[in-house]
Amino acid sequence: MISSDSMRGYNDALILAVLAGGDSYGYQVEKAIRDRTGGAYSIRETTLYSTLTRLVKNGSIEAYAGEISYGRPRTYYRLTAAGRRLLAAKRKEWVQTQAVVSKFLATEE
Amino acid sequence: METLKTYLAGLFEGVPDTAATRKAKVDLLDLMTDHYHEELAEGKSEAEAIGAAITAVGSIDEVLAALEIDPRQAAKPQPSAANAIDETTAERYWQANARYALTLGAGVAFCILSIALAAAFGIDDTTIAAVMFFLALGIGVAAIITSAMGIKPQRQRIGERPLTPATKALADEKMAAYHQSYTIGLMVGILCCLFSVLPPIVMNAIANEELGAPLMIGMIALGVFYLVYVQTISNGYKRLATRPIAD
Repeated sequence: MISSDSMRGYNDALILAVLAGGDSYGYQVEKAIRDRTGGAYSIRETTLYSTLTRLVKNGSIEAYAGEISYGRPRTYYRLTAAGRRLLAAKRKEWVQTQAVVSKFLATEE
Repeated sequence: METLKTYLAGLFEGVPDTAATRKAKVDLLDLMTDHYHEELAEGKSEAEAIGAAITAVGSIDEVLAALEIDPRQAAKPQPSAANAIDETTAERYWQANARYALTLGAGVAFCILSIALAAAFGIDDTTIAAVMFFLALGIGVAAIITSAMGIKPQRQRIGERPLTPATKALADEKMAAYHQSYTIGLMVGILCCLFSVLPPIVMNAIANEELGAPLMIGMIALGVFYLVYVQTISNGYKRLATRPIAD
């Protein structure tokens, strides 16, 4: 299980990547992250919620009311054009980050 | 379900009730409820499902940061005129604080003095020395406990409440008026501690060296009494003078 500290800085990208696959709601996003990492990373629900809130604020995703659940409309999120651009930038950045960090950590000296 | 709501309500305790925080509560409750139902679907017991849902929540500080709410402000009750401290309550608190300062200072001084008494009476009779030591120590400890018990209800009464404008003016005035006494008290306390080296020197000179150490400790006890007393009184004024005025 990877720690929340190690993943700090990547949560935005993970959520954008999940939403790139289709609109989703909070728990579905949480579950998708857990399933796609084989349970190696479980995002905290407050981390997920605060990241979603921040992405809505910066226009990367939009929130809308979906089907009724527990007696009220469930909040769904969809990726915006700005969000797609941000995800593309995050992917490019990740390739660079990986290349840089690998220089130090990929093999034992 | 009620347990999850109660847990969430506890997390949001002290957080200002705004549309954004109400929305955050609802969305987080949905997340927790979904999690809880999935745990049940996987065959977990209700207690285990609730435990798993609560464990996955995390820290409320992240949510407050995303909503741009200062967690320190969120924890503090907002100043309101309805519960502001009036002048009578403030005067009562300062009177209680003065009694507290006296008994606390005396208590600490007696604890130190117990060593001086043991040393003074130990010259002739160790039994009397032991009795005097425990007697003074007992008085000192009792005074410290009594002082703490006496001030506690008054501190609870003023809590974190803001001040009325008149109380704020009074607190500032009291603090300024006490400044001179505070400075003198501090100086007397420090001088007593510094000059406590004199008694052993003087007693040695007049061939009565056994009394030197007890007198030195006695002077230190007096100095500490002054330091504790004036500092506690000053803290009492400062405690109110630094509070915000109610809207």
